[in-house]
Amino acid sequence: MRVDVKNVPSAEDERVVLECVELTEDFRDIREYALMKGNMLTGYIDDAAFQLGLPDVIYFEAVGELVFAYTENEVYEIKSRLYEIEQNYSEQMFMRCSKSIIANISKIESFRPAPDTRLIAKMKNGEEIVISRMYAKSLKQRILEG
Amino acid sequence: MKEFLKMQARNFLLCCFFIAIDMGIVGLVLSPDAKFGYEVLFVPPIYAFLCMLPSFFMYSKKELSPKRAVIGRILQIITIEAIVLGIIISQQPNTSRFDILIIGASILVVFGAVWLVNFLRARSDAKELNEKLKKMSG
Repeated sequence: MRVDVKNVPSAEDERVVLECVELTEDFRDIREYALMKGNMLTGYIDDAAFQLGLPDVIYFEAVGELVFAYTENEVYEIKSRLYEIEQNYSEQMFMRCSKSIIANISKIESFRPAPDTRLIAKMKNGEEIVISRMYAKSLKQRILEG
Repeated sequence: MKEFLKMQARNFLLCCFFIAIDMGIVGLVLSPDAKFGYEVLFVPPIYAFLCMLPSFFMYSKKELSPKRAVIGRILQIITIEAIVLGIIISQQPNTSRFDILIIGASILVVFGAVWLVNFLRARSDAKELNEKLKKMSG
């Protein structure tokens, strides 16, 4: 595969162009990677691909081998691992809340204590997420530091 | 595991404190004239350690839902009651039913007090975070 790099004068002109005979798994991976570097990501509903804005994602959840992105109205399957999402978006208001959930901090409406003394975050869509003790300290630190 | 151990260490110290207070109150009510030696100082940490044991057996790496965590707590208190009352009855078979009832109730009080301290701590964290969220959004 040939790889060309062309210099452009400004950041707005920066883009990745894929030229392929067919959108194979390899090209899909490259496309996914390029999209993840920005603020858009690809989500799938019944194998149909959709572009969704990262700020619209309320939280990501891993269910078994699959990862889902929850927005206000839809649930998309994401073809990435949860740890990859954590690595890529931790600087963009996303933070690990438990082993299976990464939440958008800007979408948290309030916190309350659970009867088992863990914290529960109520998201802006009304859903509630349990904050694991393991991640509670770092989440608290990040929110308090603004 | 690290967070779990930290939590258990904190609960152990809280248990020691509340068991000592509880022993003092129950002792004053049931046998105010009783005299003890220095060995009685070891009773709170020993019983606190016994109270911690069920948590280690029930430890799971899986994230429990709040509902399942509450069920776990109920099982924990039942096990603690069984362990402590079992030891007391086996050491002093003549313990009256009333005394067993009082001891059983005081175990519940200690368990409740430890839970309350942890709950108030979580509530204070939640309050602090909610204030920060309000500032961030407004």
